Amino acid sequence: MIMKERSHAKMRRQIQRSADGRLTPSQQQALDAHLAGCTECRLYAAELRALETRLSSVSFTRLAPPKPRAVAQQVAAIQASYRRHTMKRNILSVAGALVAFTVVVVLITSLSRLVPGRTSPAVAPSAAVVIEMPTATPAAATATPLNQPLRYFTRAESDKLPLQPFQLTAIHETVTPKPETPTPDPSWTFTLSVAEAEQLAGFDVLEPIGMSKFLNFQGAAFDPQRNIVRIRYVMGFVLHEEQFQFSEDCDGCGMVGASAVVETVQIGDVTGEYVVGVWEAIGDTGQWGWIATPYLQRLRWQSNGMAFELMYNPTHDPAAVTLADLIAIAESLR
Amino acid sequence: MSLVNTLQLLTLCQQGDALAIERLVNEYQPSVYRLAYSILEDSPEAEEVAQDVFVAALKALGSYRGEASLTTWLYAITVNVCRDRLHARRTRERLTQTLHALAHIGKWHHVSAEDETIRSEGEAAVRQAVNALGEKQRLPVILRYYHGCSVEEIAQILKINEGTVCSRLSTARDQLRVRLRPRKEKTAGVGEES
Repeated sequence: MIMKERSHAKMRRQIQRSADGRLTPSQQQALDAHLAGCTECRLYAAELRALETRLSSVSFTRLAPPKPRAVAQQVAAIQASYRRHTMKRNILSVAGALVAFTVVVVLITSLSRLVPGRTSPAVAPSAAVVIEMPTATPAAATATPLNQPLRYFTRAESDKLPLQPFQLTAIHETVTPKPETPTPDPSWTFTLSVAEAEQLAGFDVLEPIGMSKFLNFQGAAFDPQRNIVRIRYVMGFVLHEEQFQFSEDCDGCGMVGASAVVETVQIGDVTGEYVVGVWEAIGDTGQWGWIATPYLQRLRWQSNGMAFELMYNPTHDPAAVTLADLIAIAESLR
Repeated sequence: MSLVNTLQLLTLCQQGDALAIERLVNEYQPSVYRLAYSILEDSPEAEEVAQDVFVAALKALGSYRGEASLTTWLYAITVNVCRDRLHARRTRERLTQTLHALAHIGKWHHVSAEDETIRSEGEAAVRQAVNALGEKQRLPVILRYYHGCSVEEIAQILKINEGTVCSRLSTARDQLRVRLRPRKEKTAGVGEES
Protein backbone atom coordinates (compact mmCIF):
# COMPACT_ATOMS: atom_id res chain seq x y z
CA MET A 1 0.00 0.00 0.00
CA ILE A 2 2.78 2.41 1.00
CA MET A 3 4.71 1.44 -2.11
CA LYS A 4 1.65 2.21 -4.22
CA GLU A 5 1.26 5.66 -2.64
CA ARG A 6 4.92 6.38 -3.23
CA SER A 7 4.53 5.35 -6.83
CA HIS A 8 1.53 7.70 -7.22
CA ALA A 9 3.43 10.56 -5.57
CA LYS A 10 6.34 10.00 -7.91
CA MET A 11 4.04 9.92 -10.92
CA ARG A 12 2.31 13.12 -9.79
CA ARG A 13 5.69 14.81 -9.76
CA GLN A 14 6.27 13.49 -13.26
CA ILE A 15 2.86 14.79 -14.36
CA GLN A 16 3.81 18.22 -12.99
CA ARG A 17 7.16 18.09 -14.78
CA SER A 18 5.38 17.04 -17.95
CA ALA A 19 3.15 20.14 -17.67
CA ASP A 20 6.31 22.24 -17.88
CA GLY A 21 7.74 20.20 -20.73
CA ARG A 22 10.61 18.94 -18.57
CA LEU A 23 10.39 15.24 -19.35
CA THR A 24 12.65 13.46 -21.77
CA PRO A 25 10.85 11.44 -24.48
CA SER A 26 11.56 8.19 -22.62
CA GLN A 27 10.29 9.64 -19.31
CA GLN A 28 7.17 10.88 -21.10
CA GLN A 29 6.69 7.45 -22.60
CA ALA A 30 6.96 5.82 -19.16
CA LEU A 31 4.48 8.31 -17.75
CA ASP A 32 2.00 7.70 -20.58
CA ALA A 33 2.27 3.95 -19.97
CA HIS A 34 1.58 4.46 -16.27
CA LEU A 35 -1.38 6.77 -16.97
CA ALA A 36 -2.91 4.18 -19.27
CA GLY A 37 -3.20 1.78 -16.37
CA CYS A 38 -3.75 4.06 -13.37
CA THR A 39 -7.11 5.76 -12.88
CA GLU A 40 -5.95 7.89 -9.95
CA CYS A 41 -3.01 9.42 -11.78
CA ARG A 42 -5.08 9.78 -14.95
CA LEU A 43 -7.66 11.82 -13.04
CA TYR A 44 -4.91 13.93 -11.48
CA ALA A 45 -3.44 14.60 -14.93
CA ALA A 46 -6.87 15.48 -16.32
CA GLU A 47 -7.53 17.85 -13.43
CA LEU A 48 -4.19 19.52 -13.98
CA ARG A 49 -4.87 19.92 -17.69
CA ALA A 50 -8.27 21.46 -16.96
CA LEU A 51 -6.64 23.87 -14.52
CA GLU A 52 -4.05 24.89 -17.09
CA THR A 53 -6.77 25.52 -19.64
CA ARG A 54 -8.64 27.72 -17.15
CA LEU A 55 -5.50 29.64 -16.24
CA SER A 56 -4.58 30.21 -19.87
CA SER A 57 -8.07 31.45 -20.67
CA VAL A 58 -7.46 34.52 -18.47
CA SER A 59 -5.42 36.09 -21.16
CA PHE A 60 -4.14 39.53 -20.38
CA THR A 61 -2.85 39.76 -23.89
CA ARG A 62 -6.45 40.53 -24.88
CA LEU A 63 -6.37 43.66 -22.77
CA ALA A 64 -6.53 46.91 -24.65
CA PRO A 65 -3.40 48.97 -24.08
CA PRO A 66 -3.74 52.48 -22.68
CA LYS A 67 -5.15 55.07 -25.05
CA PRO A 68 -2.74 56.57 -27.60
CA ARG A 69 -2.93 59.94 -25.86
CA ALA A 70 -1.78 58.38 -22.62
CA VAL A 71 1.06 56.65 -24.50
CA ALA A 72 2.09 59.95 -26.12
CA GLN A 73 2.18 61.59 -22.70
CA GLN A 74 4.23 58.69 -21.40
CA VAL A 75 6.69 58.97 -24.28
CA ALA A 76 7.16 62.70 -23.54
CA ALA A 77 7.63 61.99 -19.83
CA ILE A 78 10.10 59.17 -20.53
CA GLN A 79 12.08 61.32 -22.97
CA ALA A 80 12.20 64.21 -20.50
CA SER A 81 13.29 61.93 -17.68
CA TYR A 82 15.98 60.32 -19.84
CA ARG A 83 17.25 63.75 -20.97
CA ARG A 84 17.60 64.79 -17.33
CA HIS A 85 19.41 61.54 -16.59
CA THR A 86 21.79 61.98 -19.55
CA MET A 87 22.52 65.60 -18.61
CA LYS A 88 23.24 64.60 -15.02
CA ARG A 89 25.48 61.76 -16.20
CA ASN A 90 27.38 64.09 -18.55
CA ILE A 91 27.86 66.68 -15.81
CA LEU A 92 29.10 63.97 -13.47
CA SER A 93 31.50 62.52 -16.03
CA VAL A 94 32.91 65.98 -16.88
CA ALA A 95 33.28 66.67 -13.16
CA GLY A 96 34.92 63.27 -12.69
CA ALA A 97 37.32 63.90 -15.56
CA LEU A 98 38.23 67.32 -14.13
CA VAL A 99 38.88 65.78 -10.72
CA ALA A 100 40.99 63.01 -12.28
CA PHE A 101 42.90 65.55 -14.40
CA THR A 102 43.57 67.70 -11.34
CA VAL A 103 44.78 64.67 -9.39
CA VAL A 104 47.13 63.68 -12.24
CA VAL A 105 48.52 67.22 -12.57
CA VAL A 106 49.06 67.45 -8.82
CA LEU A 107 50.76 64.05 -8.76
CA ILE A 108 53.02 64.85 -11.71
CA THR A 109 53.95 68.23 -10.24
CA SER A 110 54.69 66.65 -6.87
CA LEU A 111 56.77 63.83 -8.39
CA SER A 112 58.77 66.20 -10.58
CA ARG A 113 59.79 68.08 -7.48
CA LEU A 114 61.07 64.86 -5.94
CA VAL A 115 63.26 63.92 -8.95
CA PRO A 116 66.62 65.74 -8.83
CA GLY A 117 67.73 67.49 -12.02
CA ARG A 118 64.25 67.37 -13.62
CA THR A 119 62.77 70.70 -14.32
CA SER A 120 59.66 69.51 -16.15
CA PRO A 121 57.90 66.17 -16.04
CA ALA A 122 57.90 63.95 -19.11
CA VAL A 123 54.20 63.37 -19.67
CA ALA A 124 53.34 60.37 -21.78
CA PRO A 125 50.62 60.90 -24.36
CA SER A 126 47.25 59.73 -23.16
CA ALA A 127 46.02 56.36 -24.40
CA ALA A 128 44.60 56.70 -27.89
CA VAL A 129 41.26 55.33 -28.88
CA VAL A 130 41.83 52.55 -31.38
CA ILE A 131 40.15 53.34 -34.65
CA GLU A 132 39.67 50.42 -36.98
CA MET A 133 41.25 50.97 -40.37
CA PRO A 134 39.79 49.80 -43.65
CA THR A 135 41.40 46.69 -45.04
CA ALA A 136 43.27 46.90 -48.29
CA THR A 137 45.71 44.23 -49.29
CA PRO A 138 47.24 45.39 -52.56
CA ALA A 139 49.14 42.16 -53.25
CA ALA A 140 46.06 40.03 -52.99
CA ALA A 141 43.95 42.60 -54.78
CA THR A 142 46.11 42.45 -57.89
CA ALA A 143 46.15 38.65 -57.89
CA THR A 144 42.39 38.27 -58.22
CA PRO A 145 39.58 40.17 -59.84
CA LEU A 146 38.03 42.55 -57.35
CA ASN A 147 34.48 42.35 -56.11
CA GLN A 148 33.60 39.29 -58.12
CA PRO A 149 31.22 36.72 -56.71
CA LEU A 150 33.10 33.70 -55.47
CA ARG A 151 32.25 30.08 -55.92
CA TYR A 152 32.69 29.70 -52.19
CA PHE A 153 30.23 26.97 -51.68
CA THR A 154 31.48 24.22 -53.93
CA ARG A 155 28.72 21.70 -54.33
CA ALA A 156 29.34 18.07 -53.41
CA GLU A 157 27.92 15.34 -55.61
CA SER A 158 25.80 14.00 -52.80
CA ASP A 159 24.62 14.89 -49.30
CA LYS A 160 26.94 12.27 -47.82
CA LEU A 161 30.69 12.43 -47.89
CA PRO A 162 33.49 10.33 -46.41
CA LEU A 163 35.61 13.38 -45.73
CA GLN A 164 37.97 14.34 -42.98
CA PRO A 165 36.81 17.14 -40.71
CA PHE A 166 39.50 19.57 -41.91
CA GLN A 167 38.17 19.29 -45.46
CA LEU A 168 34.84 20.73 -44.43
CA THR A 169 34.54 24.31 -43.41
CA ALA A 170 32.25 25.69 -40.80
CA ILE A 171 31.33 22.48 -39.09
CA HIS A 172 29.27 23.31 -36.05
CA GLU A 173 31.63 23.08 -33.09
CA THR A 174 29.23 21.05 -30.98
CA VAL A 175 28.96 18.35 -33.63
CA THR A 176 32.58 18.27 -34.66
CA PRO A 177 33.97 15.15 -32.99
CA LYS A 178 37.66 15.56 -32.30
CA PRO A 179 38.35 12.98 -29.62
CA GLU A 180 41.80 12.35 -31.01
CA THR A 181 42.86 15.94 -30.30
CA PRO A 182 43.99 16.19 -26.69
CA THR A 183 44.55 19.95 -26.78
CA PRO A 184 42.08 22.54 -28.10
CA ASP A 185 42.48 23.46 -31.74
CA PRO A 186 44.12 26.94 -31.64
CA SER A 187 42.44 27.90 -34.90
CA TRP A 188 39.11 27.65 -33.04
CA THR A 189 40.31 28.91 -29.65
CA PHE A 190 39.32 32.52 -29.26
CA THR A 191 41.96 33.86 -26.92
CA LEU A 192 43.61 36.52 -29.07
CA SER A 193 42.89 40.22 -29.36
CA VAL A 194 42.18 41.58 -32.84
CA ALA A 195 45.59 43.28 -32.85
CA GLU A 196 47.35 40.01 -32.00
CA ALA A 197 45.45 38.18 -34.74
CA GLU A 198 46.31 40.94 -37.23
CA GLN A 199 49.98 40.62 -36.35
CA LEU A 200 49.94 36.86 -36.91
CA ALA A 201 47.92 37.06 -40.13
CA GLY A 202 49.75 40.03 -41.62
CA PHE A 203 46.61 41.81 -42.72
CA ASP A 204 44.15 44.24 -41.17
CA VAL A 205 41.01 42.73 -39.75
CA LEU A 206 37.72 44.50 -40.23
CA GLU A 207 35.25 44.86 -37.36
CA PRO A 208 31.53 45.68 -37.36
CA ILE A 209 31.26 49.38 -36.70
CA GLY A 210 28.23 50.74 -34.86
CA MET A 211 27.32 47.32 -33.53
CA SER A 212 30.41 46.52 -31.51
CA LYS A 213 28.63 47.53 -28.35
CA PHE A 214 26.01 44.85 -28.81
CA LEU A 215 27.99 42.27 -30.73
CA ASN A 216 29.76 41.14 -27.61
CA PHE A 217 33.37 40.49 -28.70
CA GLN A 218 34.65 37.27 -27.18
CA GLY A 219 38.01 36.85 -28.84
CA ALA A 220 39.93 36.21 -32.01
CA ALA A 221 41.64 33.05 -33.25
CA PHE A 222 44.20 32.49 -35.95
CA ASP A 223 44.43 29.47 -38.23
CA PRO A 224 48.08 29.41 -39.41
CA GLN A 225 47.44 26.57 -41.86
CA ARG A 226 45.03 28.57 -43.97
CA ASN A 227 45.92 32.04 -42.72
CA ILE A 228 42.39 32.70 -41.51
CA VAL A 229 41.44 35.08 -38.73
CA ARG A 230 38.24 34.23 -36.88
CA ILE A 231 36.46 36.58 -34.54
CA ARG A 232 33.77 35.35 -32.21
CA TYR A 233 30.87 37.45 -30.96
CA VAL A 234 28.36 36.11 -28.45
CA MET A 235 24.99 37.63 -27.65
CA GLY A 236 22.36 34.94 -27.31
CA PHE A 237 23.80 33.62 -30.53
CA VAL A 238 27.33 32.99 -31.74
CA LEU A 239 28.57 34.96 -34.70
CA HIS A 240 31.91 34.07 -36.27
CA GLU A 241 33.60 36.43 -38.63
CA GLU A 242 36.22 34.79 -40.80
CA GLN A 243 38.67 36.74 -42.86
CA PHE A 244 41.41 35.48 -45.16
CA GLN A 245 43.26 36.48 -48.27
CA PHE A 246 41.55 35.20 -51.36
CA SER A 247 43.52 32.93 -53.65
CA GLU A 248 42.62 31.14 -56.85
CA ASP A 249 42.73 27.67 -55.31
CA CYS A 250 40.38 29.01 -52.68
CA ASP A 251 41.95 27.12 -49.84
CA GLY A 252 39.50 28.54 -47.34
CA CYS A 253 36.50 27.67 -49.45
CA GLY A 254 33.99 25.14 -48.29
CA MET A 255 31.79 22.46 -49.70
CA VAL A 256 28.06 22.20 -49.32
CA GLY A 257 25.73 19.25 -49.84
CA ALA A 258 24.26 18.49 -53.24
CA SER A 259 20.84 19.61 -52.06
CA ALA A 260 22.04 22.88 -50.44
CA VAL A 261 20.34 26.03 -51.63
CA VAL A 262 22.94 28.73 -52.22
CA GLU A 263 21.42 32.17 -52.45
CA THR A 264 23.17 35.04 -54.21
CA VAL A 265 22.88 38.25 -52.23
CA GLN A 266 24.05 41.83 -52.56
CA ILE A 267 26.35 43.22 -49.87
CA GLY A 268 26.92 46.88 -50.65
CA ASP A 269 28.38 46.83 -54.14
CA VAL A 270 29.62 43.25 -54.04
CA THR A 271 27.85 39.95 -54.52
CA GLY A 272 27.96 37.31 -51.83
CA GLU A 273 26.60 33.85 -51.24
CA TYR A 274 24.38 32.67 -48.42
CA VAL A 275 23.68 29.11 -47.39
CA VAL A 276 21.75 27.49 -44.56
CA GLY A 277 23.00 24.13 -43.34
CA VAL A 278 25.81 22.13 -41.85
CA TRP A 279 27.77 18.92 -42.26
CA GLU A 280 27.21 16.60 -39.35
CA ALA A 281 28.92 13.33 -38.49
CA ILE A 282 26.51 10.43 -39.06
CA GLY A 283 27.08 8.25 -36.02
CA ASP A 284 30.34 6.34 -36.36
CA THR A 285 29.86 5.61 -40.04
CA GLY A 286 32.83 7.78 -40.95
CA GLN A 287 30.52 9.77 -43.17
CA TRP A 288 29.34 13.32 -43.02
CA GLY A 289 25.78 14.19 -43.90
CA TRP A 290 24.56 17.57 -45.13
CA ILE A 291 21.66 18.86 -43.03
CA ALA A 292 19.79 22.02 -44.04
CA THR A 293 19.33 23.25 -40.46
CA PRO A 294 18.77 26.94 -39.69
CA TYR A 295 21.16 26.49 -36.74
CA LEU A 296 24.04 27.34 -39.02
CA GLN A 297 23.78 30.15 -41.53
CA ARG A 298 26.75 31.34 -43.55
CA LEU A 299 27.27 34.45 -45.61
CA ARG A 300 30.41 34.74 -47.74
CA TRP A 301 31.76 37.45 -49.94
CA GLN A 302 34.93 38.96 -51.28
CA SER A 303 36.04 42.54 -51.17
CA ASN A 304 39.34 44.17 -52.06
CA GLY A 305 41.17 40.89 -52.31
CA MET A 306 39.97 39.66 -48.95
CA ALA A 307 37.46 36.91 -48.39
CA PHE A 308 34.94 37.13 -45.57
CA GLU A 309 32.47 34.83 -43.97
CA LEU A 310 29.88 35.41 -41.26
CA MET A 311 28.75 32.24 -39.54
CA TYR A 312 25.62 32.57 -37.46
CA ASN A 313 24.99 29.92 -34.78
CA PRO A 314 21.75 30.75 -32.98
CA THR A 315 21.45 29.24 -29.53
CA HIS A 316 17.72 29.75 -29.19
CA ASP A 317 15.65 31.26 -31.97
CA PRO A 318 17.16 30.79 -35.45
CA ALA A 319 15.03 33.67 -36.74
CA ALA A 320 16.45 36.14 -34.21
CA VAL A 321 18.98 37.27 -36.81
CA THR A 322 17.75 37.39 -40.37
CA LEU A 323 19.68 37.36 -43.63
CA ALA A 324 19.06 41.11 -43.82
CA ASP A 325 20.71 41.46 -40.41
CA LEU A 326 23.74 39.47 -41.53
CA ILE A 327 24.02 41.68 -44.59
CA ALA A 328 23.77 44.77 -42.36
CA ILE A 329 26.57 43.41 -40.16
CA ALA A 330 28.62 42.57 -43.28
CA GLU A 331 28.14 46.10 -44.61
CA SER A 332 29.18 47.58 -41.25
CA LEU A 333 32.64 45.95 -41.39
CA ARG A 334 35.29 48.66 -41.48
CA MET B 1 11.51 43.20 -34.90
CA SER B 2 14.71 41.18 -35.33
CA LEU B 3 17.44 41.17 -32.72
CA VAL B 4 19.84 43.28 -34.75
CA ASN B 5 17.13 45.83 -35.55
CA THR B 6 16.29 45.95 -31.86
CA LEU B 7 19.92 46.52 -30.95
CA GLN B 8 20.23 49.29 -33.50
CA LEU B 9 17.09 50.87 -32.07
CA LEU B 10 18.54 50.65 -28.56
CA THR B 11 21.78 52.28 -29.69
CA LEU B 12 19.78 55.23 -31.00
CA CYS B 13 17.74 55.34 -27.78
CA GLN B 14 20.92 55.45 -25.75
CA GLN B 15 22.07 58.40 -27.84
CA GLY B 16 18.85 60.12 -26.82
CA ASP B 17 17.16 59.93 -30.22
CA ALA B 18 13.58 61.06 -29.49
CA LEU B 19 12.06 59.13 -32.41
CA ALA B 20 13.82 55.92 -31.41
CA ILE B 21 12.58 56.27 -27.82
CA GLU B 22 9.06 56.83 -29.11
CA ARG B 23 9.33 53.75 -31.30
CA LEU B 24 10.68 51.65 -28.45
CA VAL B 25 7.86 52.72 -26.14
CA ASN B 26 5.19 52.20 -28.80
CA GLU B 27 6.55 48.74 -29.60
CA TYR B 28 6.90 47.39 -26.07
CA GLN B 29 4.60 49.52 -23.94
CA PRO B 30 1.48 47.36 -24.43
CA SER B 31 3.15 44.16 -23.20
CA VAL B 32 4.85 45.94 -20.29
CA TYR B 33 1.56 47.55 -19.33
CA ARG B 34 -0.31 44.24 -19.51
CA LEU B 35 2.21 42.49 -17.31
CA ALA B 36 2.11 45.35 -14.79
CA TYR B 37 -1.69 45.27 -14.82
CA SER B 38 -1.83 41.52 -14.33
CA ILE B 39 0.40 41.83 -11.27
CA LEU B 40 -1.08 44.99 -9.77
CA GLU B 41 -4.66 44.79 -11.07
CA ASP B 42 -4.85 48.56 -11.10
CA SER B 43 -4.95 50.39 -14.41
CA PRO B 44 -3.55 53.83 -13.40
CA GLU B 45 -0.82 52.20 -11.35
CA ALA B 46 0.06 49.88 -14.25
CA GLU B 47 0.42 52.94 -16.53
CA GLU B 48 2.74 54.58 -14.02
CA VAL B 49 4.76 51.39 -13.79
CA ALA B 50 5.06 51.17 -17.58
CA GLN B 51 6.49 54.70 -17.57
CA ASP B 52 8.91 53.88 -14.74
CA VAL B 53 9.99 50.71 -16.54
CA PHE B 54 11.02 52.57 -19.70
CA VAL B 55 12.86 55.26 -17.76
CA ALA B 56 14.71 52.53 -15.82
CA ALA B 57 15.34 50.54 -19.01
CA LEU B 58 16.81 53.55 -20.86
CA LYS B 59 19.10 54.27 -17.92
CA ALA B 60 20.25 50.65 -17.85
CA LEU B 61 20.56 50.12 -21.63
CA GLY B 62 24.32 49.76 -21.27
CA SER B 63 23.81 46.57 -19.30
CA TYR B 64 21.65 44.95 -21.98
CA ARG B 65 23.75 42.58 -24.06
CA GLY B 66 21.11 40.62 -25.90
CA GLU B 67 21.51 37.42 -23.87
CA ALA B 68 17.78 37.47 -23.18
CA SER B 69 15.16 38.87 -25.54
CA LEU B 70 14.33 42.54 -25.01
CA THR B 71 10.82 41.58 -23.90
CA THR B 72 12.24 39.24 -21.24
CA TRP B 73 14.62 41.97 -20.08
CA LEU B 74 11.81 44.53 -19.89
CA TYR B 75 9.61 41.99 -18.08
CA ALA B 76 12.35 41.53 -15.46
CA ILE B 77 12.42 45.30 -14.88
CA THR B 78 8.61 45.38 -14.79
CA VAL B 79 8.46 42.64 -12.15
CA ASN B 80 10.97 44.53 -10.02
CA VAL B 81 9.08 47.81 -10.28
CA CYS B 82 5.80 46.00 -9.51
CA ARG B 83 7.36 44.30 -6.50
CA ASP B 84 8.33 47.71 -5.11
CA ARG B 85 4.79 48.93 -5.72
CA LEU B 86 3.27 45.87 -4.06
CA HIS B 87 5.56 46.34 -1.08
CA ALA B 88 4.54 50.00 -0.79
CA ARG B 89 0.91 49.01 -1.22
CA ARG B 90 1.13 46.39 1.51
CA THR B 91 2.75 48.89 3.85
CA ARG B 92 -0.01 51.38 3.07
CA GLU B 93 -2.65 48.75 3.62
CA ARG B 94 -1.17 47.72 6.94
CA LEU B 95 -1.11 51.34 8.01
CA THR B 96 -4.70 51.95 7.15
CA GLN B 97 -5.61 48.50 8.55
CA THR B 98 -7.59 47.77 5.44
CA LEU B 99 -8.38 44.16 5.00
CA HIS B 100 -6.74 42.83 1.88
CA ALA B 101 -9.84 40.96 0.86
CA LEU B 102 -12.00 44.05 1.22
CA ALA B 103 -9.61 46.12 -0.84
CA HIS B 104 -9.57 43.41 -3.43
CA ILE B 105 -13.37 43.23 -3.59
CA GLY B 106 -13.38 47.01 -3.93
CA LYS B 107 -11.28 46.70 -7.06
CA TRP B 108 -13.71 44.31 -8.65
CA HIS B 109 -16.52 46.80 -8.16
CA HIS B 110 -14.49 49.39 -10.02
CA VAL B 111 -15.36 48.26 -13.51
CA SER B 112 -12.78 49.43 -16.00
CA ALA B 113 -12.29 48.73 -19.68
CA GLU B 114 -9.99 45.92 -18.66
CA ASP B 115 -12.61 44.36 -16.44
CA GLU B 116 -15.06 44.43 -19.30
CA THR B 117 -12.65 42.28 -21.24
CA ILE B 118 -12.14 39.86 -18.39
CA ARG B 119 -15.50 39.78 -16.76
CA SER B 120 -16.81 36.24 -16.62
CA GLU B 121 -17.36 34.72 -13.23
CA GLY B 122 -15.09 31.82 -14.02
CA GLU B 123 -12.24 34.14 -14.90
CA ALA B 124 -12.85 36.18 -11.78
CA ALA B 125 -12.60 33.05 -9.65
CA VAL B 126 -9.35 32.07 -11.33
CA ARG B 127 -7.88 35.54 -10.83
CA GLN B 128 -8.93 35.60 -7.19
CA ALA B 129 -7.39 32.19 -6.61
CA VAL B 130 -4.17 33.28 -8.33
CA ASN B 131 -4.07 36.52 -6.32
CA ALA B 132 -4.44 34.52 -3.11
CA LEU B 133 -1.21 32.65 -3.85
CA GLY B 134 1.98 33.75 -2.17
CA GLU B 135 4.14 36.06 -4.29
CA LYS B 136 6.69 33.32 -4.93
CA GLN B 137 4.05 31.19 -6.61
CA ARG B 138 1.91 33.98 -8.04
CA LEU B 139 4.49 35.63 -10.28
CA PRO B 140 5.53 32.42 -12.09
CA VAL B 141 1.85 31.57 -12.66
CA ILE B 142 1.10 35.05 -14.06
CA LEU B 143 4.11 34.91 -16.37
CA ARG B 144 3.46 31.34 -17.49
CA TYR B 145 -0.27 31.34 -18.03
CA TYR B 146 -1.28 34.97 -18.51
CA HIS B 147 1.70 35.96 -20.62
CA GLY B 148 2.79 32.66 -22.17
CA CYS B 149 6.40 32.82 -20.92
CA SER B 150 8.48 29.64 -21.00
CA VAL B 151 10.12 28.20 -17.88
CA GLU B 152 13.46 29.47 -19.18
CA GLU B 153 12.11 33.01 -19.67
CA ILE B 154 10.51 33.02 -16.21
CA ALA B 155 13.84 31.98 -14.73
CA GLN B 156 15.53 34.89 -16.50
CA ILE B 157 12.83 37.38 -15.48
CA LEU B 158 12.73 36.36 -11.81
CA LYS B 159 16.46 35.63 -11.68
CA ILE B 160 15.97 32.17 -10.23
CA ASN B 161 16.95 28.82 -11.67
CA GLU B 162 14.65 26.76 -13.89
CA GLY B 163 14.25 24.02 -11.30
CA THR B 164 12.96 26.58 -8.79
CA VAL B 165 10.49 27.88 -11.39
CA CYS B 166 9.15 24.36 -11.94
CA SER B 167 8.91 23.72 -8.22
CA ARG B 168 7.00 26.98 -7.63
CA LEU B 169 4.68 26.29 -10.55
CA SER B 170 4.04 22.79 -9.25
CA THR B 171 3.19 24.06 -5.76
CA ALA B 172 0.96 26.76 -7.24
CA ARG B 173 -0.89 24.33 -9.50
CA ASP B 174 -1.57 21.99 -6.59
CA GLN B 175 -2.92 24.86 -4.49
CA LEU B 176 -5.03 26.21 -7.36
CA ARG B 177 -6.31 22.76 -8.21
CA VAL B 178 -7.76 22.48 -4.73
CA ARG B 179 -9.05 26.05 -4.55
CA LEU B 180 -10.73 25.95 -7.93
CA ARG B 181 -12.16 22.49 -7.60
CA PRO B 182 -15.97 22.47 -7.86
CA ARG B 183 -17.53 22.16 -4.39
CA LYS B 184 -19.12 18.77 -4.90
CA GLU B 185 -15.73 17.29 -5.72
CA LYS B 186 -14.11 18.80 -2.65
CA THR B 187 -15.68 16.22 -0.38
CA ALA B 188 -15.39 13.35 -2.80
CA GLY B 189 -11.70 13.92 -3.54
CA VAL B 190 -9.78 12.57 -6.43
CA GLY B 191 -8.48 9.11 -6.80
CA GLU B 192 -10.77 7.17 -4.55
CA GLU B 193 -11.53 4.81 -7.39
CA SER B 194 -7.98 3.56 -7.52
